[in-house]
Amino acid sequence: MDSSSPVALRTAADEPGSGDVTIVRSEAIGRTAPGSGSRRWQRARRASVPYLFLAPFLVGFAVFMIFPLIYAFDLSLYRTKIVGGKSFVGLENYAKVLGDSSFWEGVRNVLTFGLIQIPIMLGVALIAALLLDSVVIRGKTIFRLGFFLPFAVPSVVAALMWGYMYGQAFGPIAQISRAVGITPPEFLTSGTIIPALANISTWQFAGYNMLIMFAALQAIPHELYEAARVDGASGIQVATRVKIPLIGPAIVLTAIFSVIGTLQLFNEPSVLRAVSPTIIPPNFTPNLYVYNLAFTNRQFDYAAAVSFGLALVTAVLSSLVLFVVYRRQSLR
Amino acid sequence: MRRRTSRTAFTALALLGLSLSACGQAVSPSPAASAPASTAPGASPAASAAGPATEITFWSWVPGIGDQVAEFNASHPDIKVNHESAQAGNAEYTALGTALQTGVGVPDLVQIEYQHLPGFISRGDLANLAELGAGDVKDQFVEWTVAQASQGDGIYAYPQDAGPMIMMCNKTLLDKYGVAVPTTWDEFTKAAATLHAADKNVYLTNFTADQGHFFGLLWQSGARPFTVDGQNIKIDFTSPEVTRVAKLWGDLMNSGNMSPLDTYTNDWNAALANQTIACWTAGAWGPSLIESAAPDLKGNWQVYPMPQWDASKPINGNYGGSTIAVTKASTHPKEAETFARWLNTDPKITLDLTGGNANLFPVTKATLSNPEWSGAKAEFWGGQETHKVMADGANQVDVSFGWSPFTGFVYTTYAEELTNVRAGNITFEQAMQNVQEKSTAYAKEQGFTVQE
Repeated sequence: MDSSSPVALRTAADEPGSGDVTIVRSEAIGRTAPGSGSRRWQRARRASVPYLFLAPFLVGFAVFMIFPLIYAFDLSLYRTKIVGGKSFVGLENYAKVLGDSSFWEGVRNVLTFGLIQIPIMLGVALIAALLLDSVVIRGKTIFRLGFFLPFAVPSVVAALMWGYMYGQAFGPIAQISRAVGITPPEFLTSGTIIPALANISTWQFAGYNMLIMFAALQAIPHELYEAARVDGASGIQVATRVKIPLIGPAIVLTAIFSVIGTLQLFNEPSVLRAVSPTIIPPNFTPNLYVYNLAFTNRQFDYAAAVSFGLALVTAVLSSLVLFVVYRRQSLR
Repeated sequence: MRRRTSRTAFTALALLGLSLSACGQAVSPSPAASAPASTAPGASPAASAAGPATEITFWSWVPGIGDQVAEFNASHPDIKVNHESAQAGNAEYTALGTALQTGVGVPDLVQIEYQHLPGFISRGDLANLAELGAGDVKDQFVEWTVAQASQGDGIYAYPQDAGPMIMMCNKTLLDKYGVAVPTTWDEFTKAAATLHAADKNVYLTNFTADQGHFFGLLWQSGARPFTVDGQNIKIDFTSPEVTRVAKLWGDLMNSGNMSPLDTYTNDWNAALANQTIACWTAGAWGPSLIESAAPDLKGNWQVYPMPQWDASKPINGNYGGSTIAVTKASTHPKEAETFARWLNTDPKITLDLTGGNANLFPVTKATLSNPEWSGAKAEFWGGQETHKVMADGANQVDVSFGWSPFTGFVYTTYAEELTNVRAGNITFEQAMQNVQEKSTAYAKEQGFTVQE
């Protein structure tokens, strides 16, 4: 019975002439009155109510997150040899991760990718959000939808689509180039593969980040704009001096999400590997490496250790972004 | 701030957990684990008439093999084979590995490619068919195919099909530029230069990055990258036979006389169709790919033997093909062996499997020399008796070539090194040196004794 909630009782009882409620109250008191032991029981029960509501989530969280994590961690402490079978090796797999050039090469690739892609994508998203928020644009809904649409395309499909666009024979870019008599640019080469992938991710996720920033912009009280205009600020000044600082937390959020997303890069290189196997190695990104360790080499235990290594790198980088951002803010 | 950081870290860990749990699902044995697959309508009455038949499970990814399973079930009332279509290659091995580890849903019979057999043999996953009488039929197979499935005195699988290497060339295109079809690798390199010099848009060939292709080339050079004897292993990626293959393709890449396109891509198909790539070396299954890529060039293409390193001592390699093994966990190894033997040695069945959807390349001497198969005139190939060229190639495959028990690792490492070669960071020979070092370290880590 929820009527045992003290808050509910008090508000109900404060209402004049609510006889029914009084009865409920007396019932509640009557039920819990005798002894201090049952008061403790009542308190415990009261405290347990939030957890009861949280239970469905907590169960799911334990089954689908905590348990796999423990399982994976347990796995990472063993090594299964072809000759000699499974044995406990403690943190040996982790020591191996530290010296694994294949892993760090992948980390280096995603970092390079992130350094190029994240600023461009967030820049595009911010400009688009500011434009949509400004008064000068007509047909905002269409633009907003159109810009967001690539996010609805599954990343595997997006990669296939861009793989076709980048193609040297059938790709529209190559065909147009040939039609106008210039050598078609090559997109899938060792030197251009990271920008080519960055382009796909930017196309896909700029709209999503734009939407987060746009939502934050909508929440800014209009009095601030009026005040700025009274002070003689131009449209651009309003954007740079009022809007951007106020949606700072939203931008930080998108940056963190992007860092995490970047380190998890998998689908796009995995799909493009089929069309350029000599350009994208099986350890191109840490996730791709983990996948190959587990499903090609059948090294599930080491794959688990590398996964935790990747998680650690992700945690460190995310903290670093937060640290840099907040430090700069406190200095200002 | 601190709270948020830790939450972010936790989110990252949680995401990781999610992806791992997703992996766990993917690993679980094939979705059809309990569903009895294609059983012929005619099979069940026969089986029920003779009382309860022994049921065995068979994993295969050969399209249309259910027909042969049905035929077996009809003619063998005491055994009922349940065919479960598996996903090709790694996907099946992953499912098999999980089944073996947990002991749940292990099939009695399983399709395994040649290069992955040693891994399963070393782990003790496969039954020794020699103990079930495989010695009686082993001479019916082309020698090297049995050698691939053997270790010591044991025979761990029956060869099902193979991919002896051949070279396919657009003869009309080569003729147009007056380039003779190369018969040696020396001529091959020269032809690549001549052709590209004659027309800068035309190339003799491109590089096939697929690992099986490169190891087929090593095989064809007489290289022995791995020699396995129980827990002892010898690794050799620095022999002259390996080095000359690496150097040839590395030089071709740098010379600009080879198309930079990757095999099996749309661009590659287009290049075959618009006649900018003239030749392709592949397994004997290659012709169907040319036929579908360049249907308009019917009559222009021909099948040739592989170019040789030493024309006086022709050697061939293999690229593709599978075996049928009986698992050690099988509770009916005798029945399983009966089916595997029947499927891979019965003259009618092995001939049937060369056609239809299966389209397998035969590995029994009888079928290879069966005029019904070997005398077939290939319409697309200008009526050429292509099977004769392939059969000759099959008989020249080096018997002594062996794989490591960790082909997955070797393949991944090779692919990694290849991208470095392609990026110009290292030479192809250096890549081989790296494969040597990494494989050696891995073999030791996996408990093998590596002979230096």
